[in-house]
Amino acid sequence: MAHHLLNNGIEVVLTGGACVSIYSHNRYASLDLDFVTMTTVHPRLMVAVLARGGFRKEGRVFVHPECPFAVDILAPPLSIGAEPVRKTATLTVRRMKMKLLTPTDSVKDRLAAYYYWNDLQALEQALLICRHQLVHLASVRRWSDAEGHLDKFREFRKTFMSDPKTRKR
Amino acid sequence: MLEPLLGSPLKEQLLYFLMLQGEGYPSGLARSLGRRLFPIQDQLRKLEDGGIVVSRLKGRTRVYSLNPRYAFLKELLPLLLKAYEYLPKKEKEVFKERTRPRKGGKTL
Repeated sequence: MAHHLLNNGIEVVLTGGACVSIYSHNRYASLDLDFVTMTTVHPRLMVAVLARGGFRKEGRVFVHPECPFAVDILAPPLSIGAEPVRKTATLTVRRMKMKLLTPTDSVKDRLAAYYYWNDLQALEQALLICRHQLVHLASVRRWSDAEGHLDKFREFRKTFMSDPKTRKR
Repeated sequence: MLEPLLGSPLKEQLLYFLMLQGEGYPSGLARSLGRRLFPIQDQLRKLEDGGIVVSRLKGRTRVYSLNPRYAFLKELLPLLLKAYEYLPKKEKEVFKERTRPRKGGKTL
């Protein structure tokens, strides 16, 4: 999907629950692929490009008869709250490259849902990433402070520290 | 006030409403703003596609609010607030819907 879009001049970055699946080695299963485009793409162009890849629009998402995932294309900018994402990770599959959030930004992405909507599933997903990947907690703390949610970060950090499975430096 | 920037007076009204009331649902917004339902749904969809608002189901009703994760929210809110201050008093009235609780069965 990302390769097909890039071949058509549309650069995307994978965000959301799919990053949790990747970083937790599928301990969490997401059936959504949330791609953020790096530049504004006209909806009609997006529909046409994805139709060439066999995807059709169904409501807000794109579906493919042979793909179990629902694809959502999100508008730029690529940010987590007010913070722009400056660095992304790259996943290479069969010589095809795909950009995705780094583990640390993926934790911030999940924590944002916990901070703003009190989504406890998102908090669990953030911890799940921390069990399988090294995460820059100082960066998460600084971002949480900027978002005005230092109290909730402290709750997250407490759980992180008491969880024997989370990877600590 | 912001119509030249936003391209739609209705979009501007919806943003004022969501900023001041916190959330709203399409038929309620149509009633409050005295507009038809379809254009409201259309503008909300555009705002949601742009990541400016989010929606979730409350029972069978889709409720919209400003997206706290929107990258430019901190810049957008002061702009909306300043533009709102310039509105004539009469135009501001539509955004002052009752939000405090009211016991069921009581007449207005």
